[in-house]
Amino acid sequence: MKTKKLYFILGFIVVIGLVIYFPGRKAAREHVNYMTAVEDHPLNCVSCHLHMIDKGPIAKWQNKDYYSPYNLVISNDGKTLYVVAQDADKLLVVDVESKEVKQHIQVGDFPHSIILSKDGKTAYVSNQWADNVMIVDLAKGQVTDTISTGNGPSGITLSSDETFLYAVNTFSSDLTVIDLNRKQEVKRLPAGFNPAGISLSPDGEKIYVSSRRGRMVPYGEPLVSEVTEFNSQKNRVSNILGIDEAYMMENISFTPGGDMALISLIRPKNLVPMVQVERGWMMNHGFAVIEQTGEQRIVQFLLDEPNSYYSDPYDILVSKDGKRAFVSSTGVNRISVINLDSIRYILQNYPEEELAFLSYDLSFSRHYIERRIPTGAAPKGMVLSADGSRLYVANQLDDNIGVIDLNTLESLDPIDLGGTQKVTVARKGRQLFVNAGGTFQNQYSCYTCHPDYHEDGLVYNMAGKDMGRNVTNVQSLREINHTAPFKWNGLNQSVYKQDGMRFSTVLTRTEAFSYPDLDALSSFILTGIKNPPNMMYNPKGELTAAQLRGKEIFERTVDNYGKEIPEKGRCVTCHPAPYYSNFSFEDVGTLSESDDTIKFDTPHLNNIFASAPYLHDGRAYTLEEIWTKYGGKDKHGVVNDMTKMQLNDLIAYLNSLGSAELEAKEQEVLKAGVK
Amino acid sequence: MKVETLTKLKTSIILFLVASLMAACSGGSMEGKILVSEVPQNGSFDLSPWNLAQAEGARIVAMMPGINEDVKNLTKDFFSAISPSVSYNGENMLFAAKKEAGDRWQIYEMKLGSGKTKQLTFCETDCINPSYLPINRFGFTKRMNDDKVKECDMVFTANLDGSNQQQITFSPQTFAELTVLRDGRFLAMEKQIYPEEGKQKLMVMRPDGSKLEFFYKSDEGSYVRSKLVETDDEQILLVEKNAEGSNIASLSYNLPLHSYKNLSAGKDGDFLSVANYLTHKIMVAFKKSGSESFNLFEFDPVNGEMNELYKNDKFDVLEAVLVKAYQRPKNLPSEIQLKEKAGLLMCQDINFYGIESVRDNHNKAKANKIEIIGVDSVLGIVDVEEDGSFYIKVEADVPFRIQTLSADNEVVSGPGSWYYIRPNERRACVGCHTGPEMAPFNRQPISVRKDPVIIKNNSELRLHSNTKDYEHED
Repeated sequence: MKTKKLYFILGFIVVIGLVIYFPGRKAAREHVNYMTAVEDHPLNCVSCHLHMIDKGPIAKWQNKDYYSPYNLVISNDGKTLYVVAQDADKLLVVDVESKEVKQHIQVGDFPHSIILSKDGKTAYVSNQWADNVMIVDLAKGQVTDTISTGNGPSGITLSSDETFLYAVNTFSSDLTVIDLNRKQEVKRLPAGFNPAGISLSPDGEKIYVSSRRGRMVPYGEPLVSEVTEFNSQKNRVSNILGIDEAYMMENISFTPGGDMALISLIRPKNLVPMVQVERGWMMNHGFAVIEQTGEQRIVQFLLDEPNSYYSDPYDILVSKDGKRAFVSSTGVNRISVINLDSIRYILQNYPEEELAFLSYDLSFSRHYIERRIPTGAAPKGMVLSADGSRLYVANQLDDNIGVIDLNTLESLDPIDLGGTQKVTVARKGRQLFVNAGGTFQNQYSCYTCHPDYHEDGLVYNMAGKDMGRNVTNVQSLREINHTAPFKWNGLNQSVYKQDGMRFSTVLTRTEAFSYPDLDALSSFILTGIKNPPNMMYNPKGELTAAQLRGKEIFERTVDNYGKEIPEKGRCVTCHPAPYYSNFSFEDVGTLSESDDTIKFDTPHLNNIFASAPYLHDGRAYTLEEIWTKYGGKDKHGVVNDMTKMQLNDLIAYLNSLGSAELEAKEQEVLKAGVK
Repeated sequence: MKVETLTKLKTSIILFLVASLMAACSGGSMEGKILVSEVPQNGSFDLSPWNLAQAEGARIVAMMPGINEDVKNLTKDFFSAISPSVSYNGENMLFAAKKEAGDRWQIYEMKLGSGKTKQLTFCETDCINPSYLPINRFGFTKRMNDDKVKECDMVFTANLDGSNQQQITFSPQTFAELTVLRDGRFLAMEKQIYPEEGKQKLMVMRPDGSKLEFFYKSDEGSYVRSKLVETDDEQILLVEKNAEGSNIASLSYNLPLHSYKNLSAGKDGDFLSVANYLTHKIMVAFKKSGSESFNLFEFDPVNGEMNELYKNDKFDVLEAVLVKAYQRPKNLPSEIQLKEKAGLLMCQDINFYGIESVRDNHNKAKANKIEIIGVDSVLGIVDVEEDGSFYIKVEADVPFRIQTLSADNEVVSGPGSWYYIRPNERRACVGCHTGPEMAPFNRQPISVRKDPVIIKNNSELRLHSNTKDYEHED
């Protein structure tokens, strides 16, 4: 009897299981097919429902803390490395001989660069998300001073007499001049667009600052990025140099003899229909030489080869004898060794007409590239040992420091920084994101068009159908979780679809990411990319008077004449907090002749101040132009009744918008009636 | 013994015997063996990749290096068999064969363990040069005949069960010796055959036939005589022959036009083919003197040492391949959509002839138009834009060449190489004859600010058909 009962219960469970399994499985299959846009992705709930969680204890549990070394310097005696651990907000003090981390010094939010005083006793660290530079007493191992800068400090350098410290402000596109006696900013100078690299000439007279973004021009006009030259004696701009067809000029180095300045750069092909990757049709990578003698010509050279590309050059360093330069290519985990005597020969002996074309010749690098040295994952900043016999490189996504013997040009054992050994799914996704292995011949990585996991400010002709049509502005990837659908036309319901088969067919033109890799990439994109704090416009979450007025305009329901604004014409209808998007499709009157007739997916506005240019084709250089130049018919909100002051206030409010998390808190506070 | 126990024992024995039988039928592994393609030495066969179809009586044997007695003829059921290609998991082999002397060459696949063979093609003409593609497909060449364009080996692909056969090359160029590179593209020998025979070149193309472009050409007086082989360290190995003799050479995949290295300098004798073998060693078909047969050797390019692996006095070794698992090449996506009838072609500036023209200070007359020339007739004449650019929509899979014209319709340059655009393919170039090493200028061509000029062909205009009038629409 008992056995019979047992069999009955078991049978019942099996029947119920079958009833749930088949329709349940069918529903799961349909769901996964929709979310992944393929029909054979494994039915693995964990892929999305665990690895895409970006908040709470589960997110915390499955993620790890990494160091992510970014830049580094070496002590004068060559015995100690000081490594900026960007994701840990720390400065790591590493003993070169024992290869051990001796000390962790807490610095500011998202540190970027480090330099040492001449006597080696003091370090200066720029904290990009804290808008300051910290002075570190290395003997005591602690921060002694914190000096405010402009927005997003990155590259730093000292004047030759160490009276002044110069900090490049990437986000506010200017240069902070700090008087080190007074320990405060004394001047702010314009410095290109989204600058980062800085270098003082060997004679101490000149400072170059390199921009990462090109000047904003209408689509179709030539791309030019700036190198700003400063007179370091007078602390003022002395020249602006245009580097044609180049951008992402991350770093600069002068040769010790001062005959050349070298700048790492990328040469995008955004004006060309992206119909192929072969023959360098999407991105080329190289460096520029600015001659410091004679005519001071600017000549560009490629690192690339016809069937192999050296994506995302970051740091460029010159050997102590001035005969070699080293370039770290983050996208391919390589350091290229450049023979500078060959470069000098070319500059002296090739006719002008030919020099102008060298940066289109994919085979020309054979004349000056001596070696390609493999590194760890995502090589970034480099430093030479005191005697010039070793090169140390920050392998950002391996959490170690690579060591290269410059006599043999071979890699030695790296220095492990002692961080987490486990590679989480999101970390793997980040490695995939910055590695160019997912594109044909390693020509570019996701990071190339989305530097800092943001956007590069360029408009591209993706040529998905016809050439020349539907040019689109690159969109930021910061905090896009919960903001589906994706793409300007909103056709991608998930990041899976965005980066899946179609992406491989029309963009990367190589084998699509495997499902485990796509899982990891999606996990990183949706959970691992944060907005920097909005230090420029809303550092403390307290709106200024102008921003509050702007908020009222944003939320208004009646125009200046007392007439009710239709719901569709109110900003807040399509752009409600906390993401400032209703995720639906609208025609805001911005279609051009070369656009197919579509409605655009409403973009979210968090940290919108940092995403110029604007609109789907980047035609608006500023937020203001969205309405002053392109809003004439009130199709993008009812605005034409506003005064200029009101528009200014509205812009002030839009600039104050920060991360959705902060906006959500703001909404809760408002709902609670506290404000 | 209890009945029940006896029954269980019997069942176990039967199951064991069945399993053993199945294991026996599946055959042993061939990993580590070398598959050698060889042809009778006294035949009239001219040992050239372009003449493979004449290899009568050829066979494919499997041998273990160092054990000359253990040579097994894998293709004894065939009159002639050539071109072994091993699958990426090392378990199967594609080859071309004919069962009887008068048959056409067809492609077969053999499970190396069991020897079971399956015919994949049933062509009316010769199908040879098989090569595995990354996933479930293979490529091969098929002889096409036409009274105008004569014999031409076009490239085809098909599923590994022989279904879904697709032609992927369409211009009067003949192909041989397909190799699939790690990047997923075909690398093949190519010769133009119409209107006149061109010099042999190496070309690359995607496995759907799109993006066909130049890869390498031997110097004047030399030619590549073997299948190309890609090594683990990104080198392409080949045999090159000239009047003085033959050499094993390598090219860097990254920089093929500037990286030629002679690996067998100083080695007297004649090389016929090359293949991957062990780390830092390769296999070569080689003979020391004219009276000998081509035998198989292990060759160390660093120290020049050569050790015999296989010899058969009655046969010439054509080529060899080691049976092992290889890294699968990339499985490239395809933009081709067969339902589309046309593709797009754009050029940035027809008056730009590459960096060499800058170097040599070319002073060619300015060209204002392009003339698109099909096999039999002119397909269209298009004015280019002020910046020298053009943007055209052409009928898919119809071969054409382009020459540039002055305002007075005088020929300025060309005609260039044959093109064909696959359905839905979009293709672009920088200028005329700028070569595969020239990156584009980052500027928007004026021509793409407008709709493409449609070159509308009569649909019967094909490589192997008669001339019809063309229509040209602005």
